[in-house]
Amino acid sequence: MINIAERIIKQMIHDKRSMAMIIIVPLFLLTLLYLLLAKSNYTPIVATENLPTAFMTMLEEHDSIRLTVKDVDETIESFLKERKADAVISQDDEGLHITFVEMDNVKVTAVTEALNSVIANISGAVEVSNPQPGVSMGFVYGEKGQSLFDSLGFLLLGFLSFFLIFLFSGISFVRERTSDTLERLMLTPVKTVSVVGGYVLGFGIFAVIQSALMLIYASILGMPFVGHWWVAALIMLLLAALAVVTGVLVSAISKNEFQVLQFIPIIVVPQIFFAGLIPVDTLPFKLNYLSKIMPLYYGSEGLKGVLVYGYGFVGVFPQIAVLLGFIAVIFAANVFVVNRYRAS
Amino acid sequence: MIEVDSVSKSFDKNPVLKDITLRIDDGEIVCLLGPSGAGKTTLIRLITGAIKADTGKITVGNIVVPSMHLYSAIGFMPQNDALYLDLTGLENLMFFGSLYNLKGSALKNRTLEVLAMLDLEDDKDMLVSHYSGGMKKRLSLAAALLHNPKILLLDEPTVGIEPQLRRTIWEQFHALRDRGISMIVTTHVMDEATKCNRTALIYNGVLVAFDTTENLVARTTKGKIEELFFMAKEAQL
Repeated sequence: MINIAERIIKQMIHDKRSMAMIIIVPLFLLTLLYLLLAKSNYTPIVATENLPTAFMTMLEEHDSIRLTVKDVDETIESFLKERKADAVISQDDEGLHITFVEMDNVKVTAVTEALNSVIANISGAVEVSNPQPGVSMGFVYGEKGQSLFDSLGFLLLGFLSFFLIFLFSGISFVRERTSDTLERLMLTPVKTVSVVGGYVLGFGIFAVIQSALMLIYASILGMPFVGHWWVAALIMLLLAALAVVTGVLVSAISKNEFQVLQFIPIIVVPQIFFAGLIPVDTLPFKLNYLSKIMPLYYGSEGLKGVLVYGYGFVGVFPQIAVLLGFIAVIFAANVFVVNRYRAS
Repeated sequence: MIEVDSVSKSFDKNPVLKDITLRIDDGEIVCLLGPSGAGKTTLIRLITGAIKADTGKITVGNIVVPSMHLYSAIGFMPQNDALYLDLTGLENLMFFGSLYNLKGSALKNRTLEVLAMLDLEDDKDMLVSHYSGGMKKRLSLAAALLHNPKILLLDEPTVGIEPQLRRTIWEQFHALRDRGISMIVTTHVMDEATKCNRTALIYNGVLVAFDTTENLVARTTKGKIEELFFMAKEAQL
């Protein structure tokens, strides 16, 4: 088993680009998502129409928006279509209106927050019927100002641990088959369990380095990190081990590298959907039960438990147990499949 | 000693080998001669234990194939090189050697010995992806010899190897034979048959002749082994 793991490590070391892929790419993707999803400090431009002067003055003092005056000749719609502002606050007989160019979370949040705080300050002074005076929001976990990056980061950590190792082990094993080295391997006294175990061990070493780097980097980027780092690392390692056995199983039914890649939309993409990208508990048709058969769901639940809720090993033990179960079942399937390469 | 007793094998209902019976003694080189697609490789893979015969029985030294006990007795060189291109020649051999439970200095010494035997010492630290076709062949042969097997099954071992080296490789084969090792060598080069003790002619999955090369030549009119294939073809029509 050690000899097979050692061989995989040597092969990887000889292939500098693959090494970079497995170590640097996760960090690159984390950075990219951080830049895309982190809390923006953009100040939306807001135009006003028919607002009482007192109200406008108060809005003007608010530094999360920039106030401008709408050209009276234009309709609100055409004014916004020409991108002269991000939103228009207007008042007519029915009350206050905010019109946005488009649904954009960052801009909508900034403008409604500013408006709500102004309304709260002057409630009673100005007659407003719509929107309703601001409702204060609170969260049990996390905080209001949390960005999308903070709340989806754990999903990315789980997904990257799984996906990259899946890709490497799958391609590596299908090459072993197409180059006939697998047949040669299986005609030596080596045990099949050692072959599959060697694959898990070899890629596991890279997974250890990878998950440690990702966790350190994520905490530098300011991702919420309440629980123990080693519990999070353990979950990421289990996901990587699962990725190795899944990769081997998939390549056992593929004829070449391209056929391995064809399994990405079938095996990997649905798991992302169900692993926290979309809240599954509100899905129709009991679709949420599908998440129960997706390993990445448990991995991402576990990581969320550790990083956001601060659970310890005991708290995420159910997820760890399920992941171990998945690994055991697919490992056994691997041994069965690889055994077909020798008649005895 | 290898005994193949009335063995047949089909793939997807296409018969590849039909009722093959032959016996190879210790210290004997048998050439499997036949056009491509005749079933030579299938016969080799049956003896290695990679696949199972549909009917019939194969024994190697009185042990029935397939058996876990035989893997360390058999050295197998597949037709395509079956090497790790992203490892060096030395790393390839050290890996295959470790699968036969060779360890430490015994593994290292044996690896260097085999590398020297096949004239690969100077290239041992080069990645196999940079090897020439002939170098890969030699490394593949080296991997089959590593664990001192009693039986060598070599599928097209000399294809793409320059005549000079081919001669030294055959000298190695004869030296191994003299140490009591039995060998099956597949080839489609007729003159290689003259270097074997006996030659088995396979055509369309049928063993058409199995005799010493001199006796086979005596059965032809012009003294060329090819004629036996033409005769076999006519007989099967």
